[in-house]
Amino acid sequence: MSRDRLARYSLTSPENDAAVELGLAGGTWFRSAIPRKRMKELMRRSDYPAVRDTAIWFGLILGFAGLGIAFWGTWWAVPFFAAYGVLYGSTSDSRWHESGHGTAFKTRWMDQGLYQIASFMIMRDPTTWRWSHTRHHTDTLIVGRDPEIAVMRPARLVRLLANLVGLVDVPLAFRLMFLHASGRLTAGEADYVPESERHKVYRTARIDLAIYATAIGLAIGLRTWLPVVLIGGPRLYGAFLFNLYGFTQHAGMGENVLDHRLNTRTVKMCLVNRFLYWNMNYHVEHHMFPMVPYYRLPELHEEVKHDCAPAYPSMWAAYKEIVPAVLRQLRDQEYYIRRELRAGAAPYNEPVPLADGRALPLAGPVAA
Amino acid sequence: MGQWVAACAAGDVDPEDVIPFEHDGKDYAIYRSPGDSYYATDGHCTHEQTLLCDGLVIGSVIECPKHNGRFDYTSGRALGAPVLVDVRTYPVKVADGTVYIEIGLSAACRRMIRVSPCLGRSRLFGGDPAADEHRDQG
Repeated sequence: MSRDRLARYSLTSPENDAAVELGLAGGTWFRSAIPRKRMKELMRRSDYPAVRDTAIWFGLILGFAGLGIAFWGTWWAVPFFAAYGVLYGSTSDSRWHESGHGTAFKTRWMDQGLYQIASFMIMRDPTTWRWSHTRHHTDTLIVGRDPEIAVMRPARLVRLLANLVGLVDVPLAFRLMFLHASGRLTAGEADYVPESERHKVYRTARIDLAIYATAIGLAIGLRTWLPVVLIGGPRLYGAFLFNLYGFTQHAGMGENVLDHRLNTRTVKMCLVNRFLYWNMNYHVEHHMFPMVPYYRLPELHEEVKHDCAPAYPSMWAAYKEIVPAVLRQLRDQEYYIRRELRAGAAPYNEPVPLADGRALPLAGPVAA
Repeated sequence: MGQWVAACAAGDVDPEDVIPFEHDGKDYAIYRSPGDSYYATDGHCTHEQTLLCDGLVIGSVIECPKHNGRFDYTSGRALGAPVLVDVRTYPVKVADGTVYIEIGLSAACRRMIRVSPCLGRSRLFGGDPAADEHRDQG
């Protein structure tokens, strides 16, 4: 039964066509009413915040790498590589995300440059993931349509835990690199990557494989782990934090809905976490208005909070809700967290009964 | 030839901004460039039919509010993923403080008119020489 339900998440499952037929794919999502003048202010970009934050980010990465190399062979290297690993293997996720949206910088080439670098660090092909994330925003948590649902119903717990140290993502990334380097895509990727974009996927995979082969070659030739600790390795030993941040976005929330207040969380975080995560903790706001740059999201939060359920006061508060919900969904896959909106908020957008969050099957039985 | 339709008052659109216009059940987007020229395109992004009037105008570029698809609204040219198909543009003129768009004239017809020596370009497109140059290069 669980395998049958998990099969519905495949982009090649009948749920995909059924979601299109029912209007859940490419649907009209709820958005808070914000005056156009204010919205323009919020969408307006400046290079300064992202240049400052990126300079600090690269400075920290290079600094910790330098200290790690300097103390290589002693236990003193461990904390420096731990910090380097988290910056490389976790915070590249939020840089990948923001520059992928093209909203971090005002200057286009800066976004594109950071996107290529962060994609390499987080081991995501920049082209396939751009299209995958585009679909995620069009059809957020629509079963059979959204390729980026991390916590399914039932959750694949072993996989999620193993991924805290990249044990699923990294082998998968290399499998895809080899597939792409041979000029092919998966069936799911073929569903959302246009023909005209595919040559970029194949080219990037070949370049990435050459870089990793060089790092491994150096490690073997020089008889030291250092090259792979610096390149690629952080995606394993530094990956836990982006997973912990990422689970707060949608885990346990409604599926097959057309209202981000039903399937997304906003979690208050401290200044350090907000720097590391580039304000993606304001995730309801980000999904409602994806063109607002990360440094304006706190202001956007103030504009829309009257329409939303109260933000979670901390990651701890969010996880106190997420863990029991995900465990309950192991046996009850229609369960989801439905939060009470503030008094006076616009009601939830539920245009059809199937858009209430339970994610009842849209198509017939799916082969396991 | 198409039909000239009054879309809005010239002052309805702020400089470097866009507003929606609906006619016969079809959506259009009316732009005012930083140089105070007016342009019109289809109302929806060619990627996933999001209304462009909710997007951000930066110079001669309109960014779709959903996925950051970017078009040069002076030529309709798609500027890269996730938009791969140009957006249709329409001739625009301003008369007595009203912005008119010519509906029913295809982009191909418009290009033929633009290269015709019989018609002044500025009468159809407004007088932003830099934008005209960009459009011709595109």
